[in-house]
Amino acid sequence: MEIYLPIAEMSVSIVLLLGMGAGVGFLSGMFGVGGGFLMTPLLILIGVPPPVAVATEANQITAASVSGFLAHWRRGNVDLKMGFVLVIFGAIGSGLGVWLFRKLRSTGQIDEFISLTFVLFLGAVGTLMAIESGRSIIRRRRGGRRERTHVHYWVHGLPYKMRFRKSKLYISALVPAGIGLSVGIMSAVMGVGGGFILIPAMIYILGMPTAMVVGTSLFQIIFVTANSTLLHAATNQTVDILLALILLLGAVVGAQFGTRVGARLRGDELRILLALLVLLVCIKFAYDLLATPLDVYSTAPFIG
Amino acid sequence: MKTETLNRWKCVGAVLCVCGLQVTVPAHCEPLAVDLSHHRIAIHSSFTGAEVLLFGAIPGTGGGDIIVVLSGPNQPLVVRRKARTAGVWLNRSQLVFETAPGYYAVGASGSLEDTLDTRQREANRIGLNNIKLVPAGDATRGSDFDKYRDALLRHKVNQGLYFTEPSPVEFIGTNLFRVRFNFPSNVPPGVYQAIAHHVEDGEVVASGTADLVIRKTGMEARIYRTAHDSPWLYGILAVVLALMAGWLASAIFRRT
Repeated sequence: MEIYLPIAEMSVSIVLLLGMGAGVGFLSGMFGVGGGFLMTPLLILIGVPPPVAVATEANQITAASVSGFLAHWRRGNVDLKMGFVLVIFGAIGSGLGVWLFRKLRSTGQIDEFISLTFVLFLGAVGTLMAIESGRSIIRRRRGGRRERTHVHYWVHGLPYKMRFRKSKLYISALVPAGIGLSVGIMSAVMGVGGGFILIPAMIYILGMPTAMVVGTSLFQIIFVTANSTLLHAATNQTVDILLALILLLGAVVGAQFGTRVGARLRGDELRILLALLVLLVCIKFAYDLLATPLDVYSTAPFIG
Repeated sequence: MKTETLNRWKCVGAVLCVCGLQVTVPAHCEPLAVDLSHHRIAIHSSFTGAEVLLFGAIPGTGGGDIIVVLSGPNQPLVVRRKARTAGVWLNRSQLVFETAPGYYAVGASGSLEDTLDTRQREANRIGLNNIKLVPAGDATRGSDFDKYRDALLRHKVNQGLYFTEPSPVEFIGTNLFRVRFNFPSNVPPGVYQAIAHHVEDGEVVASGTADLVIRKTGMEARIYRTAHDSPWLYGILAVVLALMAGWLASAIFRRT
């Protein structure tokens, strides 16, 4: 069954879109990532124009994140105070990101910028996470000493200390603020919720417990992607509400199942799976950049 | 099947007379009576493409060849070329085309080369290589221009918006002719014009035109208009929709 998408200006199979939404939504609920870093390239692959894919994807992630967040909230796995600090600075970053996206789009370097940033961040983050969680699993198997909740280093010496009771943390508010800002910028530029950067940052920089991270990350992603959707719609008119609706129908259901599966895994198991996922995406993007393209030419509508 | 076709032709007769009056033709040749099976194509939610039939009649005793060009709304396009820089493939150069037809198809009763000579095909913009593509600024028509133009044509052919082979023009008896054109689902909305040429002994002796409008209707049109006319409202709507869908899914799953 085909449906015509009014902004993307093409027709696509509804079943295919629902399936894509459900699969990516599942990962979202399980890992606390929006799933945009998988969905955006998938949409471009089926022929959706890249600017429409990026903006519409932000809208779909909002829905999947609400669905996943509420499931985690009922399990008591959300640090609202931490979430709000991340949200406020995420919003500022998101505004900066949409402006940057416009600048990049007019110079025609947007695809490369997205790919390059993806590869650099995903590669570094994925490798570090895989090493850490791998070690943790080995240590646990050997029946060694228990993990420390978190390590203290220079970020914990910054001023403006704040207590986050749910995460059992007493740290400078500047740290989550800085993390929120960077994730906000990336979210708007790349059409991803930023979860794949936010989660490692929350685990390794803030030192939050893994169980608390997924729900809190989803909480922050809701606001950042809602803001991105609004700004993309207002400045670029590239949000396809019909495409988003079909994708999010699949995604909200997938997110519920993902949350259930994720709840059965240990923290380090969840982290190593996320690390592998992140590395897989990184390899895909690196391949696209390094391998000789099938066609060195590309055609796009000219926006003067 | 046959009676159906005949009935259609009866209806057409009346339209043809009217059409002959509004046809704009070059001064040196006669008007040719042509019309399209549709003057409006609506893009609705289950739109998966469309087909139009162009038909017409050659005056007098008939004979000769028919060439038809159907082209769609002009739009500015940019063609970018990737080059390897420090091991990474990046867009390094580009050429902007101020206008390129969003859709371009040719119909012909015989081979284009045999029917008209190169100069005539160029003058009447017939064939993939004679499409009007205007480069922006001072881009010269050197060898590089050709590469960009070829890439543009290739991409449009791949998208199903340009065609490498002309559609066959069929004759019904000696005077009546028809040709079928296909629009894919990604056809750009806008005004389309068909120009039909009657060719005899390598010369265009008569020409005629017919117009067609493709536009979004119903929900598709409303969504597109809202997105462009009230972008903020549209954005808020998109967000509210997402929030509600997420909440609804969570509420439903809570019970199960």
